[in-house]
Amino acid sequence: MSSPSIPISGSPDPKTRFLFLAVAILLAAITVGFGAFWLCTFFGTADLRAVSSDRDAELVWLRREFHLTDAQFQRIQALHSAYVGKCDLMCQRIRYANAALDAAISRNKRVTPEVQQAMGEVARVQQECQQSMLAHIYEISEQMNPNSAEQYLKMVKQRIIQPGLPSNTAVSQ
Amino acid sequence: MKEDPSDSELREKLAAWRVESRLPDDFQQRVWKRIAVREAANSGLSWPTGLERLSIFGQGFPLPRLALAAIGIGLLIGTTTGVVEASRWNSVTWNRLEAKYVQSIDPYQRIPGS
Repeated sequence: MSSPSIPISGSPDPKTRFLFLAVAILLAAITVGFGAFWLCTFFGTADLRAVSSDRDAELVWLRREFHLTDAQFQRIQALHSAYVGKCDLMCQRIRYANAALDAAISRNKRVTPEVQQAMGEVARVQQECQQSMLAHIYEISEQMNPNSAEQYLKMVKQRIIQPGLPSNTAVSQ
Repeated sequence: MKEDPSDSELREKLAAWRVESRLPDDFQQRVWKRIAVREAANSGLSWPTGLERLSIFGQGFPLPRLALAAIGIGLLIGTTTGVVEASRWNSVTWNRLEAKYVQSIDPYQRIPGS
């Protein structure tokens, strides 16, 4: 009669085998998880990464956000390029006016005609810049479809024209 | 009730039946040894044995079920967090591009500190 086989030699300890398999499974699960995460983020952000790396990324954003056609986009691109030069000049005028006001405030101890003039210049430059910017905004919106133009004006109104308190803000008595 | 003749015949045969083969001399020793081995395997952590009962380490499976479940969970978590992270990044980038456009047309947003 043959003796029954007793599995005590030739195979690793069951606990060791279990731990080894558990660690291997855990590592495999973590690797698969990270792989899935990386693939999802890589392919999920590929489109916008391409847009972000574009030299005119903000215009590409405008095109997509307001569903511009090729013709509309080309006209808006031309208007934008022309406006950027004006905007640079306006920035320069604002800097000079602000610097002049800063110097006038430092030189005087009360509101002198020099301070008043500097403040007037700052207000005048600000008004001109806002008018120029608003004219450009209207010009851009005219190139868009009515719905897109409405959304565009709403966006710039919130972000630029009324960046402070909204018109319906309650004012204390 | 009359007894069936075949029953009496069977009873006689059973009475005459003797088991002649003998147990091995070390039969008891082998039994105790197997009990000792089983007890040694069960002592200590009990969870491997519990998992083994789920035939995780059972023979005949090309890939253990636990591995499949763990990889599936890893895949699910990785995919979910990846999609959420991609969506968050896209949203942040979209807002950044909007701010960039606004900055490009507003001179006051182009001057730092103004």
